[in-house]
Amino acid sequence: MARRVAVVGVGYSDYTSIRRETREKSEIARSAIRAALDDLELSLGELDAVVYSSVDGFEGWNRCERLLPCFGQHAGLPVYSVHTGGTGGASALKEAWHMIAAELYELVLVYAGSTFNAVVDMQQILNTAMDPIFEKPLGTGAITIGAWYASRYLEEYGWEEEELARMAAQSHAHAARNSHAHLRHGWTFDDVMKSRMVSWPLREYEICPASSGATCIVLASQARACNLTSTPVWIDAIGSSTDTFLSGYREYLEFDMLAALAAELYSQCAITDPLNDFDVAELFNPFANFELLEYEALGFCGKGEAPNLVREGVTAMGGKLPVNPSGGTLCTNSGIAASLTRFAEVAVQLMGKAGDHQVSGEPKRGIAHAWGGSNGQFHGLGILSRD
Amino acid sequence: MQSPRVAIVGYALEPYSGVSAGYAEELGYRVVRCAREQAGVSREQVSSVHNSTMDLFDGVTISNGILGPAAGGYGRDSTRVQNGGVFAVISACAAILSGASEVAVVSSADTVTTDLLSVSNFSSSVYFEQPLGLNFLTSYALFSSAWMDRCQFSEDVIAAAAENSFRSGAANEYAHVKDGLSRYDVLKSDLIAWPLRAHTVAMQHSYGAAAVILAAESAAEKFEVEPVFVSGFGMSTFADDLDDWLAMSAVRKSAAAAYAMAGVTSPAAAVAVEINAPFAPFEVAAYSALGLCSQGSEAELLRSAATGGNGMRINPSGGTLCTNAPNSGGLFRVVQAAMALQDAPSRGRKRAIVHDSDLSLGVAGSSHAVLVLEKG
Repeated sequence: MARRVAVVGVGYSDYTSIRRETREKSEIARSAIRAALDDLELSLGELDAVVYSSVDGFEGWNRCERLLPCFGQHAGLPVYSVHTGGTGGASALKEAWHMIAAELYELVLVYAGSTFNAVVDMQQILNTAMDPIFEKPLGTGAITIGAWYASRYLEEYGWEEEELARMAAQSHAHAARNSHAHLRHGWTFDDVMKSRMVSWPLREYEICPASSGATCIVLASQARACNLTSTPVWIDAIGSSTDTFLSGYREYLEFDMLAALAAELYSQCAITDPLNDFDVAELFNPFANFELLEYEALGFCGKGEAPNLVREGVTAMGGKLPVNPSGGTLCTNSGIAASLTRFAEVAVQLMGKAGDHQVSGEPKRGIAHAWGGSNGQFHGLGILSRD
Repeated sequence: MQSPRVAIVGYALEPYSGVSAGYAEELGYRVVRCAREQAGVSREQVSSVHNSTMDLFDGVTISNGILGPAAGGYGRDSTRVQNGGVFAVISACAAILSGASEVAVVSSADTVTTDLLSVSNFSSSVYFEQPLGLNFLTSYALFSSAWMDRCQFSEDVIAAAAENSFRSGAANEYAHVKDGLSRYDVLKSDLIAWPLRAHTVAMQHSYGAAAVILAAESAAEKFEVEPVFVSGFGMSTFADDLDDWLAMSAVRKSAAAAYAMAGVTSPAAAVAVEINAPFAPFEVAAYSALGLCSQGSEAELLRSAATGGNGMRINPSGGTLCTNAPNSGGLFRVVQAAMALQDAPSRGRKRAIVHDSDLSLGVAGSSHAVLVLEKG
């Protein structure tokens, strides 16, 4: 059996809009890395490796980590570059987890870049991820993908557009309490319903912003973790799933690949009743409807029943299972960083260090999720816990 | 106690050439299928897929979306590593050694025509280097001139290294360039960026594909081949600093880590050494950094390798000068080293060494890895 691996530190840069960003990429990286390492009284040279993730097409600069002088290259650290699109942060974390569990390294920094702040036309870049013969000419971009799932969901289960607004308002209320969130307006149900229609049935406030900021996580072996912190958060299971490249095979009704991945991880961790077994969840929700699909895929409720959890406050702060207490990707999306942030947020909640958006009680176990690739080809999922 | 090992139970190559023979998913599927069949591994037995590609060499973003399913990744755990094929092999080894994966596919393909000079320019510093037009060729030339000046190397040694590669490439059915150029051809070729000549730097883009199937040592006996084992590996990254470049610090650190893990005390006792050297001066600089000889005795090492006198072959594949595949070159070299190891008469030699890097983007900030393979 592999040895245990823990999150011992989390670092964020400040988050803002890409239009207001004035920092250079290495400044953003340094501030996130310093926040994580200073808290642990570590220097970069004490690490064994850095796992970096970004999407080069967004960066305006290919493989920029090779030249950004902030990842310990002067100490000879290997800077390992992982890129799986929107799930990149989760994939990088998984890679670092493997390296430590395999006893190759003791301390690894996982960095997920701020990827949107240099791109001129983000949707054009995203469009190139589609099949070049059949799907790319359709002009598919991120928002249209979200809308396909939303329209199919409403049609199939007979829900109204208001359910999407209710879901979005919950995330906005959560984000208002998170000092690291980009959108902290606390938009209400009425605000969301009044926002402009962008791609039916998705309204502006049901769609994530383009944010700028970065996230990093320090992972450690059990022996190092216990020396570095009194609040290690263990990654009990982590994995990913891969769908077909051509997306015409998908039903756009549910995240079936996520359900299969969850079943695999749940069996590893003896999770039988997810709604009760988890104390906190951070799920990738660039569009409000994705959070509903994720409740169902992760077994929080049956198919078509997710809006009931929102209506009943089950997943709100103070509910049985607070989901996205950070406000989620809906309120802060700086590209690849958003996928690592889901894991970072679960970790800080379990450490009890989430500040104003800390969930109540003493959370012991949480689940984190990331989504990305051509029309959602990939999912990343992890289960984290505290002793 | 011996470190745990990972077995290479299957591998395959699509022959490399100057013309792409199909789409990434076609070549990627064919080569993985061939490797799986060689090993007797079914798709259901594959636990994880590890691709080695870069978006800019594929012309699309998130390009592992294409290659991953073609490698058998549907419904499986998958990832993509951008530093090179050896790094993807290390990713698979880590997954296996951690217990997260039992059988892993590593694959890569070069199928899309790109402007390699522009890609490397786009990979240099936005503020200072891109506007100057720095690209892989100019960065190789800067490194070469500084290094040759510092170490007092003559062009003859560089040409001898190139000749060694071209001779091996001519005899390799999978290599792209099979011209078998002599050192005199090399020295007569045009000077294209001083001190680099047309035949001391790889300017061509080689198209093809490569795949390796890895398995936990405990699972390897289930399969149909006598495996080659990955017994050590190491990685390091150059800082964007001239002294760091010239000291070859990342190559030295990678090699030291790999040799320590594999228990290698005499790297020169390897059957074969594959070095990712897209320009010949880098290959010669790597000899001492990899511990194959002491600094200053590179010419002697080359003479021995060329005549087979010391039993070790350097770049038996023809090296990067003959097959310059930015996505799949690292994996190509792993397969070639495994083949050299399995084909070689034993004579007490049981190891091969593979070096890899992302030098195709230019020298600065490049990452390096060293892999040690050994027979059963």
